[in-house]
Amino acid sequence: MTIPVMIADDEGPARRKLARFLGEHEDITIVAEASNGIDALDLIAMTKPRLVFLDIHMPDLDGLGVAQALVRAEEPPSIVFVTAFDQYAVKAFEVSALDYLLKPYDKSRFEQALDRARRSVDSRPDTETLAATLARIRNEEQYVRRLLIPNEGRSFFVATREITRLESDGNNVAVHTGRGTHSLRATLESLETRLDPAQFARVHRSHLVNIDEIAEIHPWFHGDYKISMRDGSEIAWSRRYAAKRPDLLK
Amino acid sequence: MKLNARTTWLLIFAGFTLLACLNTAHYYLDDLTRNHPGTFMQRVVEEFTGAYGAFVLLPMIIWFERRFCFGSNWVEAVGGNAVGALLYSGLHTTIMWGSRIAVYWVLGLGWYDYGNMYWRYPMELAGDVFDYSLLLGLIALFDYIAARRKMEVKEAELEAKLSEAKLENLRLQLQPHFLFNTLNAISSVMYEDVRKADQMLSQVSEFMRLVLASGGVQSVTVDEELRIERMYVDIMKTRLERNLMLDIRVDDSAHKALVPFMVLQPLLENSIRHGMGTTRTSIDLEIDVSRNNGSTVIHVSDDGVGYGGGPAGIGLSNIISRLDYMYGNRATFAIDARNDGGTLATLTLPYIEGDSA
Repeated sequence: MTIPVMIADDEGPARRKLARFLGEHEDITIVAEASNGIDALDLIAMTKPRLVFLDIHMPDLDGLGVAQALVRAEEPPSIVFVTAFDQYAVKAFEVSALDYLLKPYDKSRFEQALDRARRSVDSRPDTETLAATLARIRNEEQYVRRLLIPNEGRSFFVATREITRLESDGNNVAVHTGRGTHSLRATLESLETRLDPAQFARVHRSHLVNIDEIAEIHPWFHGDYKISMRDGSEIAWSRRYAAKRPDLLK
Repeated sequence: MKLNARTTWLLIFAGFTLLACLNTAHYYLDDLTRNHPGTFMQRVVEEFTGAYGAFVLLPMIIWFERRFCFGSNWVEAVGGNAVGALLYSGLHTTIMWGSRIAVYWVLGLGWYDYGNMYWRYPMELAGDVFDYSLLLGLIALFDYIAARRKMEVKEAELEAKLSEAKLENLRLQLQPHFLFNTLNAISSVMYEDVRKADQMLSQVSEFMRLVLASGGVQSVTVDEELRIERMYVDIMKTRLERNLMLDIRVDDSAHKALVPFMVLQPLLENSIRHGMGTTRTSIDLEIDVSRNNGSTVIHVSDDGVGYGGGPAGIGLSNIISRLDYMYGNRATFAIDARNDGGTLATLTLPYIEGDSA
């Protein structure tokens, strides 16, 4: 039986280079090629590869985002990260002994990475280490300082420090600022990972608040709290989320 | 040579000791010359107490020198140091008087006679004014040298910081990510089409040459900027194997306008990466540069699928920070949706003319 392998990279020549090197191995079959992160996730679900060569820098959903989604998959494939230049990521892969390839690589470097990955294919990948490494990389990367908000054809930037709170609203997120509320097509989860936790805290399934904009915190029932914001709004801080941010009560 | 405070004070003490020895020799030899032998111990005690008395008072003179600096207010400096000299002389004479009596007693030399103190104080003052002024001058010289050395160190540090910033700027402009991805693409195309790989190598070399020639500067002329952006799109076209059409229009009056180096590249990258969505294989890019009432107006637009907003990428965020740093609130940056769904980014900068290279 051959090993089903998938390639994800937004650049044709880069995909063909991997395909060429992989093609020299008879025990390997390339089952799919993706040119962006979203297609990569779909194709992984469809073709069930055991090994994925995953480029980090891709539009729509980057390689780290794809890996993050795979952590929760039922049968996650082994991953070899491919990157041209990501200081933080490479350092983190190095520390956690995750497989990676630095572009441009030659045949012998590729064979080394493939050898190591081939050995891990038969065992279930260590998703815990992967998840921890991804979290560390996201932590070291710069947090977003501005949001781009579309408004009737004209988009404008809002500095994250001007945001008082973010509220999920169906498929949209309401961005509250001192000068009004804007709607953004996004999920609270995706925004939470890009905002600095020193500035924003998730206090509820549908609320992310700017810590500097909190006026008061009152104990409520059953270990829940109630947060009064400076703009006068009141938000429930549920026990589940309170347990994750004990620093706010200090 | 750098001295610490302890060594400096030890050297000064040695200087005063040497002075005391020389003075002792001077006065004792004078006594011998005039046939007054037997004064050796008296001269030793007198000169050493005199020199060490001055040494003990040195911190006071330093205080006066720094408090009444001659560089700022002459009247105050002369007045202040006149008081300083009087105080110094009074204390110095008193110290000499007291210490000599004490040393004589300890050494069993009998009672030390300092003469009529009513005249002694003014007598010593006459000499002390000279000593005080000399010490004042030496301290001022010492302070001046120390201040200059400190300033030189500071200047060197500033210079080091500046060249570090320039280097960092150059590193960013060289775009390691872009460079290594391009080299990787070449290493693949090489197997398929030698001529094309060759062409890509010369493109990426030209790109690097332009960046290196800029030497980490902040601004270049519109013509230089467009040259490097054209090169960027050409390289991306081969890397992504998509149909990227770049159409450039520049007003005759805007060719020499200065713009931040590579400021347009994150906009083009956004258009290319997000504008094609997941399905399109081609995109039309347009750059339009014009002059309007003392401003340089740059439009970068595409006919792509547009982007819906969300976290502003590092590229876009950096544009805002750079404009803010270079022009304050005299520059604006906006992103609009085009009627056909594409994206239109507009940069408005103050018009500044540069030399076209």
